[in-house]
Amino acid sequence: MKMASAWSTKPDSKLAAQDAWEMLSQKLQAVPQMMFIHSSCAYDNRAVVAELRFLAPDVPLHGGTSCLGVMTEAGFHTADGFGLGLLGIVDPFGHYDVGIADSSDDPKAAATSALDQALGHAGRPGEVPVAVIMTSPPGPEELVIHAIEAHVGAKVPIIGGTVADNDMSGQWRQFANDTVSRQAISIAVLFPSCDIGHAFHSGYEPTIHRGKATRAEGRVLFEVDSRPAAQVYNEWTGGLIDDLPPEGGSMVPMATFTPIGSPVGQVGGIPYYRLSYPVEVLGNQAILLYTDIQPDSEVVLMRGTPESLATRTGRVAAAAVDAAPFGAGEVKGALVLFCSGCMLAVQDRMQESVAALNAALDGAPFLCAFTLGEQGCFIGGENRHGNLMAAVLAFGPVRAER
Amino acid sequence: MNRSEELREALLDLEAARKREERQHEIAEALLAGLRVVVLTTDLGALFPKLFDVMRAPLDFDAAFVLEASSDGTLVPAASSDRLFARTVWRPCGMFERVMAGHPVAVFDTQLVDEWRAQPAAIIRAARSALHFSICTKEQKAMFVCTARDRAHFSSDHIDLARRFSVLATQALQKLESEAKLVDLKERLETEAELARLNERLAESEKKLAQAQKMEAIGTLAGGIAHDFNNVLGIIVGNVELAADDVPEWNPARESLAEARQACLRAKDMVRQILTFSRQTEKELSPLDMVPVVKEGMNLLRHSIPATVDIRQKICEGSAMVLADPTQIHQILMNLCTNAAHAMEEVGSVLEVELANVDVSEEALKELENLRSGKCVRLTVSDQGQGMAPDVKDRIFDPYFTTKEVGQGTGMGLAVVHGIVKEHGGAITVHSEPGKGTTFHVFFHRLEQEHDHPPRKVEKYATGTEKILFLDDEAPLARLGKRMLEGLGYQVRSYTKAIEALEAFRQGPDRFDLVITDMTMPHMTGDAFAGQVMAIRSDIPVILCTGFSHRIDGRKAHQMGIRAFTEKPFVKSELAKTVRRVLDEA
Repeated sequence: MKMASAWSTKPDSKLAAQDAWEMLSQKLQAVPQMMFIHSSCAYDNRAVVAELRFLAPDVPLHGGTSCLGVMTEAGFHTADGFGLGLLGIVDPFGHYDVGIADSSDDPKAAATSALDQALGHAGRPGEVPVAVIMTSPPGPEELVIHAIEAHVGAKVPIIGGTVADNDMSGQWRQFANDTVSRQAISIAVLFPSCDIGHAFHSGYEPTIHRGKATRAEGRVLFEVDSRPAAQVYNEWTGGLIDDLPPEGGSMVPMATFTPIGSPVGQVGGIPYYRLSYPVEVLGNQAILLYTDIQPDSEVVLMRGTPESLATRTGRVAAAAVDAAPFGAGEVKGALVLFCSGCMLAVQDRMQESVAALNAALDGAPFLCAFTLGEQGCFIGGENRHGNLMAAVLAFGPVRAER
Repeated sequence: MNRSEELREALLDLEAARKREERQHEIAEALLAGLRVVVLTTDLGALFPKLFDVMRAPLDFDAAFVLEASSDGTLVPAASSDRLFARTVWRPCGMFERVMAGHPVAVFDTQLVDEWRAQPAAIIRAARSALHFSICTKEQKAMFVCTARDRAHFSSDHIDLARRFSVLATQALQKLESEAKLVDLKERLETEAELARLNERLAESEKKLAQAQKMEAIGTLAGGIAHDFNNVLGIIVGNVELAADDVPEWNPARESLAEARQACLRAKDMVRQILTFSRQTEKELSPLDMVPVVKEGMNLLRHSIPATVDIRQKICEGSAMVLADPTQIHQILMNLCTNAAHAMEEVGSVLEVELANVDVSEEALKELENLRSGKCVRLTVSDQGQGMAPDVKDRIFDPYFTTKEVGQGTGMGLAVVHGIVKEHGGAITVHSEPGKGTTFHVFFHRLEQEHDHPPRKVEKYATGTEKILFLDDEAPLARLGKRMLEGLGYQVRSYTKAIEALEAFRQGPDRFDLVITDMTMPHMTGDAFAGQVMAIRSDIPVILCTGFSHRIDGRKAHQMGIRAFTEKPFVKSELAKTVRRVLDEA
């Protein structure tokens, strides 16, 4: 079992792919059984993926676009919006593979199809995977999670990210093997020969402001406690959106530190929350979120600080190791998904994030993508989609090695 | 850094770790039960049916069967819990080969797997999902198959348990085969089982160690929060006291201010409780007669416990001398009685408190961990509430464990009691049965000699006119200290920045008779500030005050030459007394 990360910020798509693959090959000294790729939208990602498939035609490839670049154990890799990273896994006794399906018409069917493709390619049709990695365009994440759970069971941890671009212009893409798509569900199934650990945390804490989503539909929160949602939010935040015009407007990035939380479960009486990013105030004083919101559910104003966000990924990684049957010194590598909004809010402090992750993972290689939404498995075992979250999947040593 | 957020996460992680430990414990028990069957069953024909029985609950299957290889390369059932599977024939493909190679497999949909698709529809309907693992003897490889009627029934938890059972059962079976005499077999395998138990204990110890380390981390966080909280409390309680001084006695506002002050002092006690549990407080153990402490506590309890609870007390005559911190003894009494009252609040009943000098027998002493001798003072708190089931009773001293609804209890009360008793070298026992109430006995080592204790004096505020430099980085606290001290007659210059305070002192060291400084401040801590001030003028008396600090305690402060060490939040009478004493001794 060996893992390594690699990266490039060269602006030429083909050269960047070659650069990263060469670095990965040198580090691994073997052809990996699985490769994750995350890259910024500044690249021609068809060219990037094509080049990687040319260089490593038999290696399952999974990933998607990431905001501005990527982060690895060596730093935050971005230059003028260019940056891509690879995470390779050499695990001859494990089974890994990927699938992808267009989600324009039916995201649930696409998720099931991609999952079955991945299991079939891995030679494990019908078998319960150790973990599922999902990459989705913005929108259908909850449906995808439901579809995966309905297919393989709700106890399989799902980790993933919603693809992001550099400027919210919709340039995001999902990758799986030779396919690059703007509207597809990409799935990787993992049957590693090692144990894994995973964690999903928000980095925000609840405030005293809470109410009931008395009117909500899909991703639109119309009313809280039977009052216009934007009005209530503005009161809760002490006038954060005072300056928005009456017809509404964007709440990005001003709402980054004051998102909406929904209690997911509780452990020992302590509740934990899924976060929803308030994206926009609509004309009717409703709020558009980046996650679904259930009618009559409890909504809580959450609060974060730059300090907590800068070291957030490290603390989630530590929690992932804590939950695993191996110690930090045994970690072989990790895949990290971190909210792009959070990253942008603390972009000048990313070295702190790198240091925190290196401390938590004891210097093991990792690849971190910056996403528009995060999917993970909460401490109580619930798979969820959220915003402003961090998800970590850590790989340990092969079982027989311990 | 956001400490409360980190504390929340640490608590969540701790609870998750507890759940994982519980799961590990369940797995260990299931494995032991399975191994016991393997070890003690001499008739191999009876082995698998017995295994079906003991593994049914932990592996959560509807039916199970064991496949063995036949001469034509197919696999056929050697045993089955359900006749439906008894006559099946299986042709191994990729999945079965992996299972036989020692890798358990859970199938979420049997219709998608080649081996299962070859079976009749009735078999598939009865087994929509399945779990497979191997058990091997030296001569035979067998496959244990568990089935469930539901789709996607088995998860990685089941796979983990199956993997571990597969390894242990295989080892046990191979040993069974290789031994000639059954007696030897049993002995050896019992040794194996004992080894497994020892390993389990070792794993348990490691988990406890990990738990302790986590509690230490939480203690550190709690301490940090306590510091901030104490500062806030200091501002409130101090201003309430000052406001009370300005309000004439006839004014009803005075009563409101007294209530507010009382609430602040309760909050201060809560902080102390967190710090006590986190082992962040210094305790002062001194000879103490528990009789007046318990009597005083009972008087307080009468006001705070619902009238539906009939409180009865039986306090020994004479004295009950122990080596203890009176505040913490008070805390024990309060926590136990409050808990007892909660247990009875819906129905109302009798709460009994007894304090007695007792001689514990040698036999009974063995049960009381920690206690050095049989001569004890015993504090007993009994209620006639709903009592506790054994599983609840086993966990009541765990921190954050509570049976109350969310928001109704912290789960810290009994953990604090347990911590204090342990710190005092005492012991605590609990007897409880559902429907029959609960009795706690707390034992402390009894001191042979009694000590006289002068009665408490009611003192007026000590005053003075000396010049004081007062430093606290929080402006409201600096203003409060100045107002309090000026109210006592002193001339005070207050600062919020250590650098400015130091410069003022440097320019006129003789203009001050006393320096009072906060401990935890940015850029320069209080002990460092005190060191610099004393370097300028060695005889200047310094009082160091803090809400919480790892860096320094009373003993360290004294070694540095600091004259007094006080804890925040300030109470005017304590501050007045300390300032006067230090000035008089200078």
